[in-house]
Amino acid sequence: MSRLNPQMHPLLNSPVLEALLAKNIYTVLNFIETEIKHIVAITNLQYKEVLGIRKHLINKYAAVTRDGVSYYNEIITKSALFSTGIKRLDSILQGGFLTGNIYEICGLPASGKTQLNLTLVRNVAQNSILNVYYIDTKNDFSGRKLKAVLDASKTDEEHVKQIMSQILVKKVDTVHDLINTLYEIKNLLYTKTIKLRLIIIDSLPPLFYSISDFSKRYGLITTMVNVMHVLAKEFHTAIVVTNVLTTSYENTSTEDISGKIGLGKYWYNVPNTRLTIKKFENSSECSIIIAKSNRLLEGAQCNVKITDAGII
Amino acid sequence: MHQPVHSLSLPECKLRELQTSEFNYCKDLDASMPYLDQLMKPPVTKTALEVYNEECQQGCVRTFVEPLDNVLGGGIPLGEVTEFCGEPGSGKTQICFQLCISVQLPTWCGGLNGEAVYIGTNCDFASHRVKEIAKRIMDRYVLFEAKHSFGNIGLNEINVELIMERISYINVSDYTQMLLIVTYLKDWLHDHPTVKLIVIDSICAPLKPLDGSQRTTIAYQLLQDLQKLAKEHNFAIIVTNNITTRFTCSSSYLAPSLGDNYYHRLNNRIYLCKKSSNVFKAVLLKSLFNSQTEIEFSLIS
Repeated sequence: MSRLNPQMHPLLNSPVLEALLAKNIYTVLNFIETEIKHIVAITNLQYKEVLGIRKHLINKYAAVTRDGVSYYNEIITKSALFSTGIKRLDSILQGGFLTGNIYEICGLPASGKTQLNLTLVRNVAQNSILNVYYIDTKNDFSGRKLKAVLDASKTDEEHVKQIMSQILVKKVDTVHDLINTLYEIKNLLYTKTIKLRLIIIDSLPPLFYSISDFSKRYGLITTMVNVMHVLAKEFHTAIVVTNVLTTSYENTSTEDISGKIGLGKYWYNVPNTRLTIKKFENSSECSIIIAKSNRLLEGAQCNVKITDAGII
Repeated sequence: MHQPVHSLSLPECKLRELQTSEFNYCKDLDASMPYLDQLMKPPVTKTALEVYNEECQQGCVRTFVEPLDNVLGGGIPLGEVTEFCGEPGSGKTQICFQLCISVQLPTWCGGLNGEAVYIGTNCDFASHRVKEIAKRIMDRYVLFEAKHSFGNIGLNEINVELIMERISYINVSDYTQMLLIVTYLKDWLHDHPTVKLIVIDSICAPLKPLDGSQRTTIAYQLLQDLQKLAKEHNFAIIVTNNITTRFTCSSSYLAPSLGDNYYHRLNNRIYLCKKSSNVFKAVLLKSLFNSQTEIEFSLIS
């Protein structure tokens, strides 16, 4: 909860604040939880005045109530469904990416996750004039590859430059970098400095697997998820993250090597839609399956092809 | 919605101190708190075009094995982690030696004119082999120079002694030493700004004694720290790895050690094996530039 400060209410001047701090009343919540009489005794303010401050703070800092109809109308007018630029993927996603959702792409190492991300970022930048964020955690983003993909798809030079300028790349090293980045994007969207529909994070495990303390790891995942939800729901963006699948033979009764999803149980339930990408052996084709979704048909599958011009 | 204090990269004790005095959000922190700007600063935003231009300028470490350079999109990229894996005697160490030398060649003939750091974990840095390879490469270089240097013959910009001097060898025996060496390199690199290549041969020896999740954590920490340095100082990271047997319920197969989580962390993986005395096969298992490709080549003996 926010700390009390003089800007909150004219009566909360510095002597009053100092008196409150001396009695361990630091935050808005502390203030509201303390009995009014007690505050009167500490601050020498009138009972009525304290009541006024209290009311003001509650109004300002409580969660906002919104009625269903206006919320619905906001969602309807501000949401967008945009194409991924890959026809077969669009068809299993029923049109493409829907803002307000967190999508996860998971797959075994070297199954084409980064290839898919590069294609997505290219397609989305190509089909609109908005910015697209590409947050890169292990230096996988390659400008040369992106350029090669654009050249192979016979885009003219001016357009290539235009597309590549729309794509904003953030190379992060730690989870703190990532959280700072997400808050920065949030502030830029809040002040309407940039417009965007898609944020890609490739990939999550490198940020979290390097933290050995489990409780710290999950604390930071939670913080990241909170700001992701705000970006997705309130600022109407779609977030695509990649995650690793690992083969495990723990259930040795079957030959099935479906794999284990990284980052643990809590994260497992965060993405609204999970896509599993699987590469066929000795072929440039991949299959993409909807492994989990609250809206789409689970198990829907499509085959895509990795070409020099990206994934089609 | 405000950024919580516990998302900052602060030591545990400082976080607890802030929490007990109810500093929950970064916006409440006094601007006089040391390094607050630094702590809240996100990395710089670059457009893909800027990233592309930088990549083109910095070049990559050429292996001078032409088909391999071609499938890698020019050579081993700087800032990325590239793994060579294979059974003993498959040429991993030899290719690492060769790279430590070729990275030092002048830029006009495809090198990066850089230094190399070789971190060994098996105490098997065979300096006499390096010297032999250096001699062979110098022989070729002299011939090449005579043909292509447009009259600037005898520049004496490079020789075997200089090559040997510009390879720094570090031996580590366990994973703590390995993590510490990265911290050490942080300062050391400021005095050696021309380092373009760091080799860890092999990465799996010190990680082997650890169990599953700890092994992943240490490997991720190591590569995260190294890659952070690589971004600042622009060098390539090469690691080598062994082959191990993995079991399913009914069968077994050979796979590079350290598992899938570790594999995910790598940017490129190249599998090596020996075909005959000086013919090697390389299979590009993971790379952004090409799907699984097989090539044959010979190394400088």
